[in-house]
Amino acid sequence: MTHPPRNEAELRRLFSRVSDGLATQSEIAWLDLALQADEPIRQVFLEFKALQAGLYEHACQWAVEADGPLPVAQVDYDAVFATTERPVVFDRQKSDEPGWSRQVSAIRHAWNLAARGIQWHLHPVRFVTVIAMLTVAMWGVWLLIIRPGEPPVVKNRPASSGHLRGAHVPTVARLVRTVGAKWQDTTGLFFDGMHLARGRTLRLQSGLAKVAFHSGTEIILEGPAELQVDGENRCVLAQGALVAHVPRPARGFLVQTPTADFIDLGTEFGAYSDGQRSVIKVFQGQVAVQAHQVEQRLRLTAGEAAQVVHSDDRTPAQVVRLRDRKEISKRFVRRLPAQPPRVVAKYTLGRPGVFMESESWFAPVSSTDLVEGATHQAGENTNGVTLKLSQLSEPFDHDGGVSDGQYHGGPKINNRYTTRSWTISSPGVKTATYNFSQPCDLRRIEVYASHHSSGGIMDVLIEVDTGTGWKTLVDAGRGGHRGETQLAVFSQPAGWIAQNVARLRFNFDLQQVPNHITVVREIDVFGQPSQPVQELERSADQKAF
Amino acid sequence: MSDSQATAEFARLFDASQAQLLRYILNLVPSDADALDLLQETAAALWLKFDQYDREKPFGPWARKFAHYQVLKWRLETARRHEKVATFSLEAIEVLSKEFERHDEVLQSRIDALAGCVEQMSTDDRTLLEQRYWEHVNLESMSTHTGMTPPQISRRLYRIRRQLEACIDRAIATEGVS
Repeated sequence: MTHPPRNEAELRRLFSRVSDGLATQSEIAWLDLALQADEPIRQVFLEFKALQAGLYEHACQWAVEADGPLPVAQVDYDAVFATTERPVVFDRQKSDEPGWSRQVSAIRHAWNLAARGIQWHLHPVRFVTVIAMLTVAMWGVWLLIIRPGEPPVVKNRPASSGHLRGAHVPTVARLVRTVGAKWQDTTGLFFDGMHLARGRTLRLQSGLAKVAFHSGTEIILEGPAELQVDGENRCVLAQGALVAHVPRPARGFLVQTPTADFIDLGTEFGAYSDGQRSVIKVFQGQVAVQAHQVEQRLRLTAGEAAQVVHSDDRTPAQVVRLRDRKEISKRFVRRLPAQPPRVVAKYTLGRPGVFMESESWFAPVSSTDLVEGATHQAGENTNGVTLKLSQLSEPFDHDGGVSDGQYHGGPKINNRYTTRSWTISSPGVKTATYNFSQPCDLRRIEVYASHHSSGGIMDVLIEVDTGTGWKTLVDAGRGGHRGETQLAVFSQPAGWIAQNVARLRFNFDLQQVPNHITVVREIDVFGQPSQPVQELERSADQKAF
Repeated sequence: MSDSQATAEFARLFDASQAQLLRYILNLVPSDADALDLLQETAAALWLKFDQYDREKPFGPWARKFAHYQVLKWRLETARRHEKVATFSLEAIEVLSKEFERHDEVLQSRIDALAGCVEQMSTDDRTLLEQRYWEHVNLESMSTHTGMTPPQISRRLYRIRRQLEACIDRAIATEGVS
């Protein structure tokens, strides 16, 4: 800036640069004087900074999984749904829900706590469970913390994470994804994406599990471990190792172990407990340590580590700072290995270019295709809902696409070509967006496309929106060469490829080739609603009261 | 009160007041990144001195005193180290601190209105906001992601902020009417 701001817009532009750390010394000097002298400028500044604060505060709601939006299950799908205790009410609010903006004032007072509140109210049933658990483990000291007499904190956490309520026990966290996880069967079944009620205990025999608390805190639990989620921003680590990543709005995340409590004061740390001994290692930021048996508080900063040991017959209780050794850092798993869905069976059939372009030749457009008609994959969609292509928005806005006609020598599918907006002429891009009427969990997607003329290639990109914006599900890259592209997306081992999907988008890109026509003949999506429909209805009833 | 209880008590109190605390610190410090660091320093200081906290009194003002002190201390330290860090003068800090106490309630209502406004942003804008405010990616790193230079990103953020402010103004006006 070569001159002071001449109007309000320039002033606000300066504020932006100041906040972003781009302002020059002379700009800051000018602002400093202006803020002292000029009441209106001060007002605008305070409002602007309040916006910054608000954005930091709200950011936890846009949080997306750091390492990809794609939970992949190890769990056998059918077994899980036969026996699992699925949460009852899905309280997800879609971003486009008109009621949401009206609720803004309602959440006002709940805001601070709702952002990542620690709840003190405990449902009696859960309370008994907790007592039992504490007694068994002889961690009586924690009993003092739990005060069931206090009124419940009002919760109204909006949007993206989805918010589930089981009977009366609110959920406080979500099991995001597991890698090679084996659960102790006494704890019930777990599946990726499931919501965890307060008080729920995870007993992980081996493998890794990522848990996202509603506060925004994410932990990676490494088996063997026993962890209880007992609040939106707190947990009890009876044994095992975890690494917690605590975003700013969730600061204050509390990990209780049998020998010490750890309060996060920012970002990332690892905690380990074997019942007698707790180890804490701070990767980033700071952590407060409170030993149980000895009057000792410790503040650890990045790189530091400490150990808290319970007394026994031979050794007294003690708190020891540990030298920062690499072995301690290595002990913790800080990132969940990626396990994205794989594109399998993408192939092109070098068929002779028999390709008809006359409209009259094409089968009448219908919506009898897609999942229901996918006989070539019989059995795949037995648990699925029918996802009609007719729900695809522009530009694929007509009814359906592929029908049951005769496909010239097609090896797998008995279909005719269809045309109209299904046709993509190069160079061009077509996008098809599928808006689910309710969030769905997906386990398989298939795309069939025919290519006219030689040298045809097409990039296929599939994206999902789970309420936090578009994320790439799979970039299938090039397919198609004078014939047909068949594309199947699923995970290995079988499991969800995406959960709580609100929207699904297909991008077919023919930018790279001249004089090429592709006809997308069929898109099959296999999955099921994220929760049974009757439970949704029940939740609507409950709201009415 | 046992230590464990004190820890939990601190977590709860800090948790409930940290949003306001951040708002306070942001006002006293030009750059957001510095404010976030200072929030962390403040949290640590509060925790170490928590046994001196008088539970009869509200936590927020007590915590703000610490924050205020941390800002002054940071100012002094950066000056001593001859660091080229943008700070406000003592006079400006005093004025802004007083002003904050006077207006915080009004500012809170603006923040409340923000949620609905963010929902209305385009995916691209939200992605940018996400990087800036959630992942705390600095503008240099953001520029490698986005292909924009830091000043370009800042200008884009400026436009987003203007939209959000306009939206907040509308929301508050509507609220006032109904």
